[in-house]
Amino acid sequence: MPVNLDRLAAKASETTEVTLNQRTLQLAARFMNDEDDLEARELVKKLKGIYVRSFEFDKPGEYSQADVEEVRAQLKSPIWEKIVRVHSKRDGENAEVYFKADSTKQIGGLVVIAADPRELTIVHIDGPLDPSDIDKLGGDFGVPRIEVPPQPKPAKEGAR
Amino acid sequence: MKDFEQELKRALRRWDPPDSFRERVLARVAAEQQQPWRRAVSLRQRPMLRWVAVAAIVVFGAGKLSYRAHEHRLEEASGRAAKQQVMLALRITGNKLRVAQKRVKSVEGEDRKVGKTL
Repeated sequence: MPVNLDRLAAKASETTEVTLNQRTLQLAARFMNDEDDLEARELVKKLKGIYVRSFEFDKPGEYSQADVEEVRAQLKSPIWEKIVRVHSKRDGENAEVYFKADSTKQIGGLVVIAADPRELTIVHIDGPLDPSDIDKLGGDFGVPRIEVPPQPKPAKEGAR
Repeated sequence: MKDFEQELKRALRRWDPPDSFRERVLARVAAEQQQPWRRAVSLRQRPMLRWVAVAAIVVFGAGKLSYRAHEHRLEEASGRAAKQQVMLALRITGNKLRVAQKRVKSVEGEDRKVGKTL
């Protein structure tokens, strides 16, 4: 996780923290042998890390926009590209999805920031993600289909 | 009886070792100090020690097997725990992506409604 969120954990009434580095992911992949796990296993084997921090608060306003901004500050272009940002004034729900630009056609990583008045969740998936992988996992993990904008083709050398 | 006494005396009489005896003993002690495995080789010929060595090998082998089994169990437990963590992380990711998608869809729906009214 790019930023230290321990401060928020101290304020939160419930904290979910998942930290999986490449070694742990490889170990987990060896035990994902059920039929339902096979597609997830192929994804997990490619990844470098999965980091989740989720904080639930008793009252609204126990975390500030500055806390979220600290995370956003790490997700700057050209490395990170904001794909989705939705904000609801009605219920104060925010969701942002960032993809890490990769030299290949693949996505190099994914960050999701989901915030509502009493909950803040940050997910960082580090490693190559094929849009079709996310698509396949939709059934098993409830991961929805995300429309990935087509990557511009790199200009051929010498072509004008 | 006297013959026997004479014979015993003759057998137990003091006699000096050959001149080279001292040198040979000292040379052997020095050689053993330089090559302690030689002593081990000679100990191997003692049957009691042979059994002790066999027992040690058996105990060591059993210990190694037991340690491996323990390591395997530990690795399996860690692997299963890691799998649970992966599933939890993917589920949370899925849920949060779904929130984003739902919002995007509702905005699209509102846009369409506005478009129709216009």
